[in-house]
Amino acid sequence: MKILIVEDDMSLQEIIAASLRKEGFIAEIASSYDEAVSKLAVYEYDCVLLDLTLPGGNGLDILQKIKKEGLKLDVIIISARDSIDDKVRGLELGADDYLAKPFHLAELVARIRSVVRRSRNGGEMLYSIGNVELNPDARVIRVDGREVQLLKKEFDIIQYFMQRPDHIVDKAVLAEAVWGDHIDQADNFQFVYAQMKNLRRKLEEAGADIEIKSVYGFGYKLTYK
Amino acid sequence: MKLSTRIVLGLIPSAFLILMLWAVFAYRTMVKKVNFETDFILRKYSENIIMRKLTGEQLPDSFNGVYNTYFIRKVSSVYADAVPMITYSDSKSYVSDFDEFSFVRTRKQIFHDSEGHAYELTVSLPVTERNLLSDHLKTWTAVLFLLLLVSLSVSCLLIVIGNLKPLKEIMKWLDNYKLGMSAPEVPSDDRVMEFKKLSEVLQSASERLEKQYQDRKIFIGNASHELQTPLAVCINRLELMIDDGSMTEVQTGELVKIRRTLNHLSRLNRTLLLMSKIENGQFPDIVNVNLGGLLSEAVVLFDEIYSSRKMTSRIVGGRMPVIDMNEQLADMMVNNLVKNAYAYGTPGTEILITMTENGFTISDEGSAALPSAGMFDPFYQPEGRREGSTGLGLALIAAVCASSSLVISYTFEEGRHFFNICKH
Repeated sequence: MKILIVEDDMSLQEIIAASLRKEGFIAEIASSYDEAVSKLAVYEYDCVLLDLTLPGGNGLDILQKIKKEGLKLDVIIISARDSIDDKVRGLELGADDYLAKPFHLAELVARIRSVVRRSRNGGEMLYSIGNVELNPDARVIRVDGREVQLLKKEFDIIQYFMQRPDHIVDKAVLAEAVWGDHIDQADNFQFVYAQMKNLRRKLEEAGADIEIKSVYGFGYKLTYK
Repeated sequence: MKLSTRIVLGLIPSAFLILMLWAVFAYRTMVKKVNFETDFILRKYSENIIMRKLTGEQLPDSFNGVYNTYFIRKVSSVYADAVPMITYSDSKSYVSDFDEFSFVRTRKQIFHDSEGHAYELTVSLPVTERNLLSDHLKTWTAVLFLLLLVSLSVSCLLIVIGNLKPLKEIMKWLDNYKLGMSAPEVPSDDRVMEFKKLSEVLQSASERLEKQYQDRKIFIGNASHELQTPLAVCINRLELMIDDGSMTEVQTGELVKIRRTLNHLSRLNRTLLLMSKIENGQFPDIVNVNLGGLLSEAVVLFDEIYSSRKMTSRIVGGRMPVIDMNEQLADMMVNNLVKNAYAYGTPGTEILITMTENGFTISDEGSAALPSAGMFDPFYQPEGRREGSTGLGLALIAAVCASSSLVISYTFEEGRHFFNICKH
């Protein structure tokens, strides 16, 4: 899968590119508005990571060009402006997703996979690892074809891990992703442990061949058994 | 109250007073004139009788067919000296010729003949017609007074409404005006100097406000970009190192701690920028928000997150507070207040949320009152720094309240902190 990273910050370009290449993507870089426009005119990409503040122009204008020319690629806006106007305008113009900086690399990879999978499967998304299959839209998880009943938070946790297999997930990051920004002053992560314990038990009982392992006491990792 | 109604209501008492004074004056003047005419007839009649009496001519009949009556009697010189020479009076007397009581005006006059004998002439004139005329005058003066008052008020109202039409247009423009949205030009009426001036001032103020708003919006966007991008770089580099797998457990643990600190820094930056956005009015969409629903959701969320503190919560109050404000800001305000109660309340105690029609109060147990100075300023942390706290929670709530016509207040009573939010 070929990704174009349109980002003016050299360090961030390098990190995103390295991370995507590690995940098996082909990553190309454009540092300015003009470079992005010329690369999009010459080469074909599956997905574009689009920063909005660029030397020489606005990322939203590139998005408009992509849609006007009918290019068949997915666009994820990565912006530090964190403005609702930009987000709404970007999505209205046809962006597939919006990720505010700073983001976690695993989150970025998961979003790329999501949007590409959604556009290729005609709108339906399915995550599958081993004998476990998860449909986020229908909020259904199956092990060996049999549905496993999970509570809302348990489902959110397993979905988060299935989008980031083999990545170490900090429990603080997990808590923020599942419970929201308001976990910042929590005394401890007991609420995460409680849900995790039940989720692990249900996966084990269903005979799933994936497991969520604790890593060094500060995080978790989803692995294939 | 509308300005036109207020002007007309202000006019009615003075118009009432002026017209009333005019009506009383007109009525009294007319009655006085009628009385004068009656007295003039009596005087002429008296002079005629006295003249005839003194010259020895034949006196007319005491009843002359036009209801006038007279009576002459001889009086002592003592009496003649004691009473006024001429007196007028009104009374109800029996008129024998008509066999009925009638209102009469009476004139009495003392006169002397050539031999010095004193006489008193009493002349009476029935005044039923005069009284009837007075009654008519009274009725029609009152009718005229009311007609004038009503027509004056209605014409005044119509004139005021007509003349205030340009102001109505300006008010309509103000109602539809939203900062950050492209607004049409302020309606202007060049015929009236004051309205023209008002339109010009409003137009220039709205343009100035719009420019400041856009400038600040761009600044916030740029500041956010310049600060968040390097943070993203640092956090992502750490993630690559953590994911690499070549680090020892201790090294990985340290990297995770650095990343959490960077996340905290990022959150702090986002919150400061958020406060600037709120102060700049960048949350213009106002809807009807049921704060009761948001409070119930927040309680469920924080009950779980702070389950280790073993606190209970109770929501009381019959009426759900429903407030017109931005939904995102309402959510932020409610969550921050409930989180504060859970994070700073004494473990094992109860959080009480009392709802009223106009707002709500959250109370939690505490050992002493919080220093109120600077409580709603940024970086207020009176109880020592709490892990993960930005010190911006209460300042953020205050900013939301200020932008949403709400008031936040704090009290400490009987070992409990009370934070109250209510409509302005």
